[in-house]
Amino acid sequence: MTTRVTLLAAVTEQRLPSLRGALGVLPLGSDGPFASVPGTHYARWVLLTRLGPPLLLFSAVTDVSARPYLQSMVENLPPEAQVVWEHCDGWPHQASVEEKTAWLEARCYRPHLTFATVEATVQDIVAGIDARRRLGAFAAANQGLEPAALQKAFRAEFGP
Amino acid sequence: MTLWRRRAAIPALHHVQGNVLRPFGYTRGAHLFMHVPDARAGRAWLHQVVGTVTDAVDWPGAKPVAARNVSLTYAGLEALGVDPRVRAALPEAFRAGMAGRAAVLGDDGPCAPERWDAGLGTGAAHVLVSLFADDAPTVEREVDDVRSSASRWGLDVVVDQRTAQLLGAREHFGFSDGFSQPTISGVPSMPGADGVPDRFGRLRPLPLGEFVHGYPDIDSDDPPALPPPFHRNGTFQVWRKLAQDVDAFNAYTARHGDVLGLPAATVAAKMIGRWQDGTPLSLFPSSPGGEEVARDADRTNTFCYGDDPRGERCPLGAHVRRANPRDGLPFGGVMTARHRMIRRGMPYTDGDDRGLVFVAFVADIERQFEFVQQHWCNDGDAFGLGDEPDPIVGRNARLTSQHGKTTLGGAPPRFLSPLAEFVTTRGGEYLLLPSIDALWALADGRSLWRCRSGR
Ligand code: HEM
Repeated sequence: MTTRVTLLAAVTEQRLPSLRGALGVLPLGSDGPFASVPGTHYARWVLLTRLGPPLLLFSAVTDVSARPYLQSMVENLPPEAQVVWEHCDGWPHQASVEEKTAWLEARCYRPHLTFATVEATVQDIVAGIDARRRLGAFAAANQGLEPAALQKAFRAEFGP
Repeated sequence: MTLWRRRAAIPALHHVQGNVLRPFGYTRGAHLFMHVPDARAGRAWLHQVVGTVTDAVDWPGAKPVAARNVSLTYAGLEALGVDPRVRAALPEAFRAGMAGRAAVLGDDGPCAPERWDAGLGTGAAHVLVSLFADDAPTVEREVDDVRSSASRWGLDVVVDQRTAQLLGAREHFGFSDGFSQPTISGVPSMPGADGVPDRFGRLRPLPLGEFVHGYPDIDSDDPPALPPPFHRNGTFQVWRKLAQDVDAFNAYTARHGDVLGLPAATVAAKMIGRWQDGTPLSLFPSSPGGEEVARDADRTNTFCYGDDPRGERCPLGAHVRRANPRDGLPFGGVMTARHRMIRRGMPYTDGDDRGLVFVAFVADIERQFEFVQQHWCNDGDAFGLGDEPDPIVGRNARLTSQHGKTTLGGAPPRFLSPLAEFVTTRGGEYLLLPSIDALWALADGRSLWRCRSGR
């Protein structure tokens, strides 16, 4: 159900400081740029600088397959995050969404071993976490009730 | 897993600062953070002070009347003129400083760096001199001595924090504290020091490199080194001032005890994972183990959680179980081994303001201290507890959110909810506690790449 996207793009040495700066100012967690790309379980950029010429690694676990995800990323990433791609060698600055998507896709690799055990959509997981929270709050608020009263309270909260 | 096969390294005790591998054991302390006006003055001052720093060599007879540590913040290394290439090669968390890592540590709201005590987290604190003695006049004398050498070279004291043990080595909530420490191979162990459980539940010592730079650690016989002169015999020091709201804690445990039909002392013990006398809930789930056991450090600290997977004896979310889950996570102790720390905190009492000066020594701030605070104390996912925080030191915003609760275990499980803010961060710094020869190198201005090579 989920897809792993792995992409490597070259970055010239001179652009590294500016790229580091661009990555460094991006907010993290739920304010992070990928919150606006639907279907992202997680996504991250990593600068690889010790293995030879610098590379920008992008890896993500997504609800949709690579191409539609990359396209949605091109369309939805906020400008302060689009800047990251603009640091890569050969990024087609003036090109259309389709061309940019194709550029990204051409740099994708099929990873042999990725650790991603989620087999549910982002929506399923968010709903699951919410149900867990509600259940936890319910259990805390109703602790100590007799079984019949507990069952009644449970039905009132979660339905029959 | 090669955890147990590492070569046992012998620490060079005359180079390592004291109090790291074995506690000084004094009952009073003073922590003077100072601002260095310029590199020359700072080095001249350091030159005068290095000779007074206590090393880790055994004291042959009675212990000295006082002992000292000197450590430096990243801003302090900058102020002393340390080569930018050396500084750039130091780990990111240390370079950012504790205030710079507020988002990682969950220091927001009332714990946010903007609200910290003056002098902490602003870049003004450059060097820390920590002084220890057993009586107040000696501490005063030592403080005067440090202050006068500081003023001679134009260093300003920006924070002067005193600490003192409470009766019976308790912290302010009334719990015996500070005795559970990692056993380190090559270092004679303190009574009660615990190791890391192997897959048979036996406690094994941790390699020295987990706490002191330049020695084999769990991962490698030759772990990545810090740049010279910091490559060997130093450690990182986490210094964190945590205010404790004792009245709120006592009122809370009494009120929730009433709701749950439990004595307040039991509620408090379930939050900590030990009884006030220090005996662990894992061994004594329903009442304290008693004075005789409490005095026997080996008995109070030789236990695991693997046989209590649902937290029926010790709640999964209790402070000590989170801070050191022992074999309570999958794969025995393997998951916890790299997240241990040596703790050397002491309570402070400034009138009504009371709390703990939490001090930890670790080889890697991010992997050890920050990991524990961020993943194990501010969140409960690792323990199957969703986002439940540590009821004592969890991120306050989570504690007080409408979902803030602690699961006390049992069948049916009982909960503490909502939680309250009992502990507030008042400030802190990440420091490098260099080896004694690295302190000399700094004092001489030899903190260059070429000053020493490798080992
Ligand atoms: C005011 C704040 C705190 C209080 C009142 C407190 C209290 C205690 C107490 C009573 C113990 C049991 C005694 C012992 O094992 O030595 C303990 C253990 C411990 N605490 Fe804290 N603590 C505080 C802050 C912290 C923080 C911030 C951390 C790290 C993030 C931490 C990490 C630990 C660890 C690692 C242990 C040893 C657990 C073990 O090895 O079983 N504590 N604490």
